[in-house]
Amino acid sequence: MINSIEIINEEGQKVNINIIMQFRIEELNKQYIVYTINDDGISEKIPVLIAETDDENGKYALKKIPENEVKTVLMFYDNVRDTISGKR
Amino acid sequence: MIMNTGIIAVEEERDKINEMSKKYIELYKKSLERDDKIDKISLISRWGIKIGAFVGHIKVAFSNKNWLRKNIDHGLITLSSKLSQWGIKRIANKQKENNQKEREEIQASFINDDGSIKEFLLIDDNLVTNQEITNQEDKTVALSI
Repeated sequence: MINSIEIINEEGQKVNINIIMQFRIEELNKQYIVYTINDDGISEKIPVLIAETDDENGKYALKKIPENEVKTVLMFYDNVRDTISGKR
Repeated sequence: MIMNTGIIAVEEERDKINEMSKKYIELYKKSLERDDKIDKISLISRWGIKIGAFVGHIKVAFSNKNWLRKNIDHGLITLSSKLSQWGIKRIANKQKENNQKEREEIQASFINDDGSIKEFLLIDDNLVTNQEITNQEDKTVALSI
């Protein structure tokens, strides 16, 4: 994975995550990270998480994605993933 | 897909994710090599990894435009306004609302190898500059960055 950083979740807890990539949706003026957490490094399948991020007082925080934006976020994730992978 | 407290979870194959991460790093490194130009178009966030979204946006915006597709992975093409099909549709709808002929209108800017920025307006697949409508030959030259 690209990077491992410590962030703060909505409960205010510090969490170490492995960042795969980040993308931004200009129409929503929001940015998102794609990451894994507690990856065992072995399984063929990886649970990949997508969360909205915010820069609060110099600390990155994870935020919930509103339900009405989930479809858009997934569409962008698919596009970014496939583009980077050269499949689009 | 699993929805849990607003965090989207998707299951991916490890090989696919590893491949994507590798290519993502390559894009990122490429962006660092041209740091002076990247600053101009704000490709890099504090984490320095916005370039993936940038490339993705372009791909979405110009998925129908074969003449641009070859440049998508250049890493230094950006658009100055809305980039996604959503943005395009929104612009088109706006035109329709104004009782004008519906058209696809996109503003784009490109970073040349010398660091200069060229701005374009694309209307219904026609490339328009501030001064003139370019012909096909000009278009090819303009995009050969």
